[in-house]
Amino acid sequence: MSDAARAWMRAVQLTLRVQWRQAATWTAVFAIAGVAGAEGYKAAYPTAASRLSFVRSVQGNYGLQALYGVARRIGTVGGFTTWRTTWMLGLLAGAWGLLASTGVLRGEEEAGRRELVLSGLLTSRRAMAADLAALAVLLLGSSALYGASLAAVGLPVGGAFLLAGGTLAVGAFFAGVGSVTAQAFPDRRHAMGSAGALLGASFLVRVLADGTRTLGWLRWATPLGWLENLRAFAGTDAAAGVPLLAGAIVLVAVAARLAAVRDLGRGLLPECDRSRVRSHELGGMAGFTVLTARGAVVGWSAGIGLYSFVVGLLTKDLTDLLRQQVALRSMLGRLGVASLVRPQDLLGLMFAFVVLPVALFAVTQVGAVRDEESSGRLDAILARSVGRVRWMLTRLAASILGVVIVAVVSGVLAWAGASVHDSGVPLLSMLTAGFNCVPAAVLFLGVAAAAFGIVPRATAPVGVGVVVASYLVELVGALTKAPGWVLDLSAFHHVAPSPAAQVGVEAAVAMTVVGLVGVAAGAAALRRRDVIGA
Amino acid sequence: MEAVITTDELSKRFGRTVALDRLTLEVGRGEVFGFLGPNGAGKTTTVRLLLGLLKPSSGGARVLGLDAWGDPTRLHARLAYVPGEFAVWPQLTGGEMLELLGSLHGSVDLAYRDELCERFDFDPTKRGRSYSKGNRQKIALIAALMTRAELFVFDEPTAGLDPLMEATFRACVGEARHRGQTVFLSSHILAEVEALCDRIGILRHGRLVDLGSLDELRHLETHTVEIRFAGDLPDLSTVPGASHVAWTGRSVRLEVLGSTAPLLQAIAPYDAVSIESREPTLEEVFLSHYGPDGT
Repeated sequence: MSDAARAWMRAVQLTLRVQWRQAATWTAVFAIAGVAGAEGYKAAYPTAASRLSFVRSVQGNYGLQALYGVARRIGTVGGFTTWRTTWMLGLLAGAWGLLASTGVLRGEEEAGRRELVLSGLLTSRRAMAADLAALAVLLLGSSALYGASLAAVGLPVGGAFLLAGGTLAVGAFFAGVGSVTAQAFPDRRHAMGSAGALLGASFLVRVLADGTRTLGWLRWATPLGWLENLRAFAGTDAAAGVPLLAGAIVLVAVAARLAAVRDLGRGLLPECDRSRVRSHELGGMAGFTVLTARGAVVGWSAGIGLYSFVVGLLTKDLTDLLRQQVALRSMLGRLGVASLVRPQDLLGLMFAFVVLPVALFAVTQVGAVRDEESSGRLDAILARSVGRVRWMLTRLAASILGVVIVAVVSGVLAWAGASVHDSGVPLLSMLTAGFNCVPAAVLFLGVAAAAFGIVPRATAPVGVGVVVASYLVELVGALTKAPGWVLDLSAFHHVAPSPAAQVGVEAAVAMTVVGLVGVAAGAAALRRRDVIGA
Repeated sequence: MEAVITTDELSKRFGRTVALDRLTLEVGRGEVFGFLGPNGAGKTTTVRLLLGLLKPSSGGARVLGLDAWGDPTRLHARLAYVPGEFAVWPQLTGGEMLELLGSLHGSVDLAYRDELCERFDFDPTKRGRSYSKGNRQKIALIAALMTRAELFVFDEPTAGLDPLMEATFRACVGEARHRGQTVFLSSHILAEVEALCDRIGILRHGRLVDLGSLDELRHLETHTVEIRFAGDLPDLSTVPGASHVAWTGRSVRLEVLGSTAPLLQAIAPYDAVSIESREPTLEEVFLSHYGPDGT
């Protein structure tokens, strides 16, 4: 092997080493969700008769299909598992792909490590090929393990691997998207944000395609729709996977061409080195905090708000349909919604899904607080007359305010969407639904804040991990009729489906208090510990 | 002299690693104190302990009469700090960062800030991520100097600066000394310390191995003496403090530890044609501590 080839192999190993933990975590999430879906279905619908009545309850129900996708062969374990988990796992695979590719292709460069790699034998094109080869290995490994775990619980092997491969192909597609945006922007934040916006858009298109009777063709316009069109366990159309893989290859090729014509450390988009001075907005700690948090609040509000708007838009149509579906009610009862005859009921069901991204927003804000410390910028702040506790509380107060803004915006936009079709949902009840997302988000923020004080290097993993674990408990637990104490572990279980139901004031107060206690614990721990870098 | 920095058996351990071992030190008001040591000696740990960013494992530090760990904010209002590598906020311009750091500190001399920007040839209108390493360091230096604090804590402040800017920095420190401001300068650049500092502490493996004025440190060290004789040659091997006696014809070269008086007495009866004695440079002091045969 030549020296250059050996260097290339080392670069692949390096990326594998940096990325394998995340890959293992994502794979575990895929496998657990898939296995739980299959096992949950077997437990909940053991007999042919029960499955038949379940199928009847869902057929033609565009409301549930908007959420989960088109229901195909849901009378079988495989069909049900695909329908019930793929909408989320496809999203997660896409998120993994774009996080990983922007991380290796832009984050490393931004951190200044890339130039060390490139000062050796590797050209930038080969280094990029090494990174993407490593990601391909991880995606392949992940899909093999995910497929094997589906097959292990008795699903047909062909369908299991088709579903797993298709899901991770969405990851590959968005890794491609991320590698293009990584060329366009000089920083990882923007590369990640723009790729994430495209992922969100393809989810919305999928919701529109599946939730309406006339826009079904839109499924061919979104990678998440291609994944659905694979029809794993339901007639199998492997050709639908072609655009996913071909798209990934084309995107990577485009990224490689773009990488060849740009300077190291810069993006392709024209970048303004200068900016007007906003000193009037930098009035000490508070003004500075607002300036730092503003971008994230606007971005998340836009993303979650757009979803809420579309949900609102669909409400009227869907409830009209649902009203005809009597058998559905027992199934939805399991999701915590007693009846679905009013638009509010459907909005309550849909808003249960808004709590998740709002909670994720909250924990990423605590992650940003930790970033300030690990990057060394905190030293410059604390070396002035700002106390560390005041700094942390200012930042987290701004984060909580941001959570409230994001939640209220999504409530208002859902109302606006519903009003287009005159659904008769009052603004006040949608504002309430928005606010209803806040206590759980504050709870997760408090957990992350406690982690920040006690084990600072684990802030983001603990924060995101607790949110995801909590969500899985609720999702899987509700399906499998898990004992009450298990469901009680999940904060999502304590969020009332407002506006379908009254806000559970006690639960809301309790979650808020626990969150604030977490913040206080984090602050107390921060007061006692060292300021530590990366 | 009033003490501005007092450390008492100040220690810091990270797990099993002893980063700083019972540092006892005093820096007086108006002093420019040089803190020397090789990479990894514990200089930055000391600085971060003095700022209250790290919690002492044992012992303590009082800075400006305040406990560094217990009362950092009141302390920080009166000192200014420059890290060795300044992490910028990529989304802020240089001017915005100066504004921010100034308002976080409290009081700023705005006229002096503008003067400093001029003297350091710094363009405050660019965004953080587009500054080079040297220009990032200038932000930190200007942000510290513009506060006119009582005490400056510098941690390898000139890393990345060109010689011209280094000279500007030295001039600013000189002016600060003139105004009675105290400076704690951690560095491994000997010329910088030699040019600026009144007193020096040398740190090695987390321990203070020497402390004193430049002159005092030199007296602790060896002189290199070269003598040429015309007549008889003396026996110099028994002279107290002398070592490494090496004869080349009628010339001798030897090392003398401490005072040269015993040597001068020993050669007085002989016909010494020329005597050459060199004081050690700080570099030699440093090398004798850290060099291969250093203790």
